[in-house]
Amino acid sequence: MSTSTAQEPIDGATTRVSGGEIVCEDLVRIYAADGIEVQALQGLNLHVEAGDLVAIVGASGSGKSTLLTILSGLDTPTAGRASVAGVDLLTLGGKRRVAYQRHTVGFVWQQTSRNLLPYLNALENVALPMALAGQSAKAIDERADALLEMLGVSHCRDRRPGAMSGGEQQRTAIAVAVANSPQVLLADEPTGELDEATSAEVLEMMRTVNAETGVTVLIVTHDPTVSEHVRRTVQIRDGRTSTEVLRRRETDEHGAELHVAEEFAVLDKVGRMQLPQDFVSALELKDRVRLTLEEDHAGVWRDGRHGKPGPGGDEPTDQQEEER
Amino acid sequence: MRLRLLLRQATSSIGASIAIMVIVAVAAGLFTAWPRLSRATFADEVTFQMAQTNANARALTGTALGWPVGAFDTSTTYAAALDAVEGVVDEAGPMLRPNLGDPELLISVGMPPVNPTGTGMPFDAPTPRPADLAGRFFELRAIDSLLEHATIVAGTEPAAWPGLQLDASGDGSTAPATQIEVMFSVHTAQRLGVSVGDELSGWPSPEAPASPEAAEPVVAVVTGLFEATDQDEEYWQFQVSGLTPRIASDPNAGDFAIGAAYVHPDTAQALSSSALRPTTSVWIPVAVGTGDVAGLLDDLRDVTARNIPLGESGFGGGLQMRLGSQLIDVLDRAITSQRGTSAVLTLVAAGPVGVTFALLALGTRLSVSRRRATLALANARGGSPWQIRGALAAEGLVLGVPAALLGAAAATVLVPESFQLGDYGLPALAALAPAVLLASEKLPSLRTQRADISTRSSSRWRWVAEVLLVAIAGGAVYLLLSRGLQATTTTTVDPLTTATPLLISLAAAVLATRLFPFPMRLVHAAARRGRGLAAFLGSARAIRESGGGLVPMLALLVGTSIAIFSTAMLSTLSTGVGEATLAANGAEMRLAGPPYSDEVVAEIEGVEGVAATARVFAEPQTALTAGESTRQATLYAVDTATLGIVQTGVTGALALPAGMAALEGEAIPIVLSSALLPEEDGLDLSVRIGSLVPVTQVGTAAAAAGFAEGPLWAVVDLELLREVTGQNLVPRLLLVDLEPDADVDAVTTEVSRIVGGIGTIATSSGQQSAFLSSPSAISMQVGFVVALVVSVLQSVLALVLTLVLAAPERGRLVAVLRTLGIGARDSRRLVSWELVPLGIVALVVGTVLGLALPHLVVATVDLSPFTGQSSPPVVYDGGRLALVLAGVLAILGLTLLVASAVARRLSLSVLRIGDAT
Repeated sequence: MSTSTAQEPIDGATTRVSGGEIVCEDLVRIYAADGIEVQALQGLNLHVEAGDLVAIVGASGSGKSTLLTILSGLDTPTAGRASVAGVDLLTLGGKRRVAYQRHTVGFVWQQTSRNLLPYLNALENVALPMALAGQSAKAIDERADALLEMLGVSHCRDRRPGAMSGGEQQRTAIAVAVANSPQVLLADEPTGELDEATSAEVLEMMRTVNAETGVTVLIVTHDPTVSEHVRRTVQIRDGRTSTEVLRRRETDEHGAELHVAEEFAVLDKVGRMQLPQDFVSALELKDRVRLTLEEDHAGVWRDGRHGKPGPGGDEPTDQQEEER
Repeated sequence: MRLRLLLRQATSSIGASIAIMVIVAVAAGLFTAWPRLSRATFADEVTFQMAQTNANARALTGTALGWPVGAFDTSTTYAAALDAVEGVVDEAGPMLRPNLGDPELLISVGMPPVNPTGTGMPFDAPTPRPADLAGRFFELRAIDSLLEHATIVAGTEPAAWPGLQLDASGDGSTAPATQIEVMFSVHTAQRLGVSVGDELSGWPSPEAPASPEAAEPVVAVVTGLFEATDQDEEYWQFQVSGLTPRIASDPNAGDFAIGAAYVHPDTAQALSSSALRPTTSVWIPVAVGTGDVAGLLDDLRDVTARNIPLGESGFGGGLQMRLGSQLIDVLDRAITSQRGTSAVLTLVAAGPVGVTFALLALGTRLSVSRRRATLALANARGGSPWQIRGALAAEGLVLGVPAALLGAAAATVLVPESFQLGDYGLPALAALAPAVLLASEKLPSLRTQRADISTRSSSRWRWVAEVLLVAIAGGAVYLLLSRGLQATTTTTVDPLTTATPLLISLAAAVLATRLFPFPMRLVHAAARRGRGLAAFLGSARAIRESGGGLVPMLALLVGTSIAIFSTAMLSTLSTGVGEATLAANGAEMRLAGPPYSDEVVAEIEGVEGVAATARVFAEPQTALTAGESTRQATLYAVDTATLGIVQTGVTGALALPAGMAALEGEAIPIVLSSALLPEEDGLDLSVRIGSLVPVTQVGTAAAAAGFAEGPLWAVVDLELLREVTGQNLVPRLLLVDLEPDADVDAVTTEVSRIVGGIGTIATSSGQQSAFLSSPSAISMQVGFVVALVVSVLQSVLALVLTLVLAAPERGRLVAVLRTLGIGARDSRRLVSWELVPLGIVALVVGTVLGLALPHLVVATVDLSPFTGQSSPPVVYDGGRLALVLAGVLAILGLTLLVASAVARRLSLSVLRIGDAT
């Protein structure tokens, strides 16, 4: 492990981590068998700063689950570059994969059955990854209790998942995921099976964990409300990152706090970008467009020989602002 | 905490764990019990065969002409000779020694043998000869153990006779002893008409030509009479006619009695200078004992291969004694029949043994697949493959080892036999199998599976493995067949013989699984036109999702083939035995012994259940003249009209040409044995039966089962011979044919009453059933039944495990179908559709396999101890096979019902959509 792990106890047993940086460049994953090839990721670019809280949204089949599988070390990308906390995922294998899964990443899945073992109680579930990592029994017990405390589910300590509510299950799942103090926490639809209020609660919990431990959190979801809880939302389309929404709080001159969300298109190293679908359909863009370089922006024009002759007005497509 | 987590994870699929433990325990028990039982039945068989053999045949015996003592060498006394024999006992191998009793040395002294009185010497005695005797004889016997088994009841024990040698002083002051003291048994003395004090003279007593003083002839003096302490003792079987005189009859003269006159053992030494003819017999009793039969046999062979030098070796005197025992043949037979039995049983057992391990593999797969999610999660959360496999292996050990220990211990206690480490090889394998199988199971992964584009390399490798398996099975069969009977003539376990039936079963199962979709397509096509949803869906699933059913296919197939094989093998063996006994017997019933007059024969023919009789009159050593040359042959006069009918179906029966019952010109038609064929044709043939009878050859035959013995014989018609010779030739052999539905026991009883209980009555069915109740045959039948029961249980287990393994998938399917509105009945039928086609295919293939396997056994296992023929023809008893097949069908049906009921109950728990992938 090349990353350093700074551990300072917070609230008794939670630890502060750093260095959980996620870098994906031109990531490609091709499933091939018997002449059929499916390209699940087609040159995806993603950069997440250490300690950031990012949501990835995308329609079903857009490749977000593939990305998560790769980031969690379960699958290996076909080409490109991917590293998490300095670990190169393309060359990951054997002992390094085990170490990566033990200490670098933790994850929470949508389905409870994939997060928690039904025949273990909450404490034992939290203890499992630590036991697998070979920690001492005393340390395991102390940390498991502290984690349950931090996530507000210490009352579920001796209950099995079957006896917990959905929210409690997911909180426990988060505790399990961060048990070994990973630098990165991956979450796949963590709120998929929860109602709105509970969803918000769980997402707040993830924010708390992010804030208190400095773990990088990556949430994959198609739930639009999730993006309200994160600073940065990345959208994936057809195996590529297409747009990003950045959220910040601004205080205006009257002292009122504003939530500002700005949407960006993602531009890769060689200058490729995707136009949002609604832009394409609104302007009836097809086959090819005309580009013009202006002083401070670039313009995209419908091909004049195609479709109705345009009014000639240039449409700013490189920036769009949205207020909520 | 770690242990607790391990424990929790191990107990999370308790059902599969219990199944594994039960399989291991039962398998270890059976694997342990099998060789022990096999040894136990072998020991039973040996004891049985040894006990069947009478003491005299069992004993090590030897007879030689010559003196074991020497008159000139004083050290070669009777005691010294006995010591030499005792040396044999001392030097016998460790297996034989404990079974050996005290050796006996008997010296019989008489005249060169003369018919019919043998070596007996005629004598004169003062007491008159009993009127009913034509002559009285005696032979002198010396044995020192006599008085350990008999008591003197009158007179005294005979003293040693010093012999006729001159007195040591040479002055003739002491007259040579001229009286040899002897004693008889009370009964012998009575029969011979002698009493204590009688001087027996007139026999060729020893003479001393060099001694003029010995003008007086040497006589035997009866000094005492003895009686056996127990006349049923084995001791007296060895000393033939020691207690009662042997009676020899001469039709012209009358009866002669030959009695045994016992002398002091040392008398023999003095007698050895005489011209009398000595016969030395040695007898070492062998007790019935079990233990290492092969070792015993080796020791016996060792003893019988050695010469025991007795008597003085100088002057070309003394004698070399060779011991022999019929026990060698008996043990050899027992070993051969045991080997045949175990070879057949190994063929049967190989299937279930293989299925056991396949079941364990299925059980472990179930155990892992039930914990798919758990293991995948543990793996994803940082459990290294070694960690997880290690945990699984530890779990396998915890499951397997105690269960195997329990099973093996139970078998060891229940089947008391000698402890042999080799017995625990297979149980140990069963103990370790769960650990190995669990650890080598493919670990599930959390990685999302895309079935549409998953790689198909595993199925490609499966093809390769399957083709390889079929090729290996074919090669094994070829090797086995080309090696022939050698396969079972070695003592060690032959891996090829053991593995071949399993390989064949496996190959058959693989082929059946592969070919199974083809007939199913037809069913599916028919179901598509039909209206039933279950049939359509079920057949579609059977075609497109087949491949998981290899283990249940194997189990069902093995079970069916064992049932069919056992039946065919038993009918083959019992028919072979029947034919062998029938050929030896000559007919279904054989009467031999007393003369059977025409009235008796007519009465026997009148008995209900008797179909026909054929009389056989035999005249041994009849002169058969062809031209100038005369040969001696046995002439058989038979009922030529009925012999063919009586011997219907008898192997090697004599086929007589028609017209044997009428004269051809002056001559009687005659059939000659092939060895008796005259060198030239056209010679005048005649036989001498009192007078010269002209015969004419009408045929030749190689064999005449049931009556003709030896190579030289001839057959004519009985009535015609009587007519021509005018003699009343009374047959002493009667062959009887019984009605097909005759009550053999009733007929036997009735016939026995008619003949007055004299002679022997042998029925072939009686001998056949005697074979079927011998330990070897019984153990074979028991082995068949055990293998069948085990394989039925294995089939049930295999089906249940497979159904449970497929339960989550079926559960999702049914859940989807339920939402689409399928009825409960149709969803139950879907379960049947998983099993019934599989069962039918297994039944068909298993039947074919079961019918074919006996041919392999017949070709590779030496079955001569059972049937006389090493490769008897395979016999299928249609009726019995149909019955067994119906039974198998019923059991299979029941199995399917039970398995689907169990599976339905177990699959209820996974009826939720979306749970576990």
